[in-house]
Amino acid sequence: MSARLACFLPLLASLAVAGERLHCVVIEVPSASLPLLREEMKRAAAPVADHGPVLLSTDGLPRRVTHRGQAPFVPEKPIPLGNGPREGSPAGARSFNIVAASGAGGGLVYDVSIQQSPVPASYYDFRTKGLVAAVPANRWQELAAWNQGTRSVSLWHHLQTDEPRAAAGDELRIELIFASMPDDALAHVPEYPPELTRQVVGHLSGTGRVWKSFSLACRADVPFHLQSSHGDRRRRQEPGYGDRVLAKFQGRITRDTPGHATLDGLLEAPRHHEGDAEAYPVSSEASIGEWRLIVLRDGPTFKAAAAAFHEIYTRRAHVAAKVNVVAIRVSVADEGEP
Amino acid sequence: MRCPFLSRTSRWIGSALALTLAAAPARDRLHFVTISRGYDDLLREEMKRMAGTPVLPRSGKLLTGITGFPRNAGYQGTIRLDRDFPLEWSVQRSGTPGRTAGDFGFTLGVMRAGDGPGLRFDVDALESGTEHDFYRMTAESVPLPLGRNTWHPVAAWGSEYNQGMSLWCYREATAVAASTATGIHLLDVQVGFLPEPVVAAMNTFTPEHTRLARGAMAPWQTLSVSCQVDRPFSISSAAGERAMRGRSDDRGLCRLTGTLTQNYETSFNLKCQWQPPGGKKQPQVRFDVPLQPGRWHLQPVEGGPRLRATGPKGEVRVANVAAFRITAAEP
Repeated sequence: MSARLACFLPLLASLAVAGERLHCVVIEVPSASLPLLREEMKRAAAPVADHGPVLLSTDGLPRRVTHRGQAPFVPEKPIPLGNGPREGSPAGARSFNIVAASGAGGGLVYDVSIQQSPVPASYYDFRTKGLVAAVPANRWQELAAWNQGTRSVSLWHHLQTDEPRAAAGDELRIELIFASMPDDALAHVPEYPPELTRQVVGHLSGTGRVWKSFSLACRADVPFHLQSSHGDRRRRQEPGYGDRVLAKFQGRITRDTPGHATLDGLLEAPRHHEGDAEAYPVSSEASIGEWRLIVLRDGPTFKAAAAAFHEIYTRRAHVAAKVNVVAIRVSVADEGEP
Repeated sequence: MRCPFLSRTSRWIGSALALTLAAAPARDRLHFVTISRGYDDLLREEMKRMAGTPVLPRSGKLLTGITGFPRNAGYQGTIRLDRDFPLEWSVQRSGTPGRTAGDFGFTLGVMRAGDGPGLRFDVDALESGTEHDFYRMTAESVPLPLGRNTWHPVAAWGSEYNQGMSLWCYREATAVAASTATGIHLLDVQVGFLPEPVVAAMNTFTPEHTRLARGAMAPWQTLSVSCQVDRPFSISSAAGERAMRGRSDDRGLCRLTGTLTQNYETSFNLKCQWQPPGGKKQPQVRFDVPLQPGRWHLQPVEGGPRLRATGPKGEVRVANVAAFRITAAEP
């Protein structure tokens, strides 16, 4: 019996190699390097290798591949890409659940749950369900990116195929950055010209005053949602122990005209102080591909890097700051190099 | 409650004022300010917002200060242009205690550029420093873009151990014919370090990747200068010990000289020589760079100087890449 199975195995393996394969990879970089990683991934070859020169690191800082998965691409069936369900798994295991399925309109629908360990004792958990993305034929495409403190994590997928596939064209990407800006700079935000807005958003991640940043593949009129939480690994086995939610965001994009979109969203964050709100509506109109800065009144409180001179002078590395600005960009999902 | 006398007086004052204004000679002045560097592209966007404000606040938060750091004015002054050229604005600052006074300072010499309304100037600044006794920053025959009533970046100096400064000029003029700043571009040059595999691959980069790679460079020296097509430019920066000054001024000197030429509308060529510090013993590095306005171009450098800052594992870094960009002057 086992001998018969053994002679079938190479055959099965060769079938899988001959067919299409879906790859995914999770890469962690310092937040300021994320725009560079996006350019580097345009050059990255098919499966990101285990060893050797993983990626071209333009700034010389590490590109850490933390999770990697692949499976034969089977249309109309769920494709598990992670390391399996880890409910009740021994403490210390990092769970990474990604299930892809062919969706309507030729796209892929993903359910994602990724745990990352910044330090051995704790973990970050990122979840999103029903994420819609185009089929990335022979190129890496970003599915989602989020920050964990000053580092950014991004999830990518890639379909190895011999068949040419046309991009559907209606896939979008929503980017959100929740940050704190100096109050006197804030007064001028509504009158910034587009170029200044772009420059300011580009510098936000370098100021250490970003609370949360998210980027998600999405489609017009399909609601999206995500959740970022945090937990203690040693206590995960305790009955009744739950992750501490850091932020939840849900929203929907409607595309009024080809060059214009509207975001209707809701941010939920835990309350730190009496009188803090629990939910903050975030709605804005935006030109496709252009950053928009909107002022958020009394946003969630977070620990920000000291930036102003008087703060550094008093030798405080971190100060309590309130999220007071949201940068929003809706763009057409990157179609890769022709 | 109308007072006939008061209303008559105010009318008289008003007409007298109108007469004075009409008789006053057209204002033609040059304002300038030096600002410490950092977030340079952001500073340029911020300064665009200051059009129509020739005199910037002297201290405190000069601009929007998105980074949280206030941008302070260094040297700041106004030169009346209705006098005989060349004009000079100069300030001497006493040195730090225990040193001879009157050495540090800033000089701006202004000349007419040809017969037209254009201006050119020489800049010479000597600053005290922490890493070195002095920093000297000069530029010669720098053309000022003709665009009126707006701030133009005209020169900037910066090195690895010195934050440096940028010089901004503002032509406040009512009578000068409004003309477009033809052929005047701001040239940005940055010499620094990128990992070797990146230097080997950078000629295949997309424009966006090139732009981001420039931002990720470990800088050794950055220089910016306003230059006119087909006219030579020269900008230099030096650092050293004051006791040795005069004798060895060129040892710590870094000088960039060259000429920008235009092939056709959006295609330029920059031929320049870059003299690394170390005096005449150090061979000059020559560049011949094709440029398109608004885009960064990266060029490998061979035999560049060693950077003071080492890599994350303490490895020695050598300046191995130069980045160039021209930006057409704002009209």
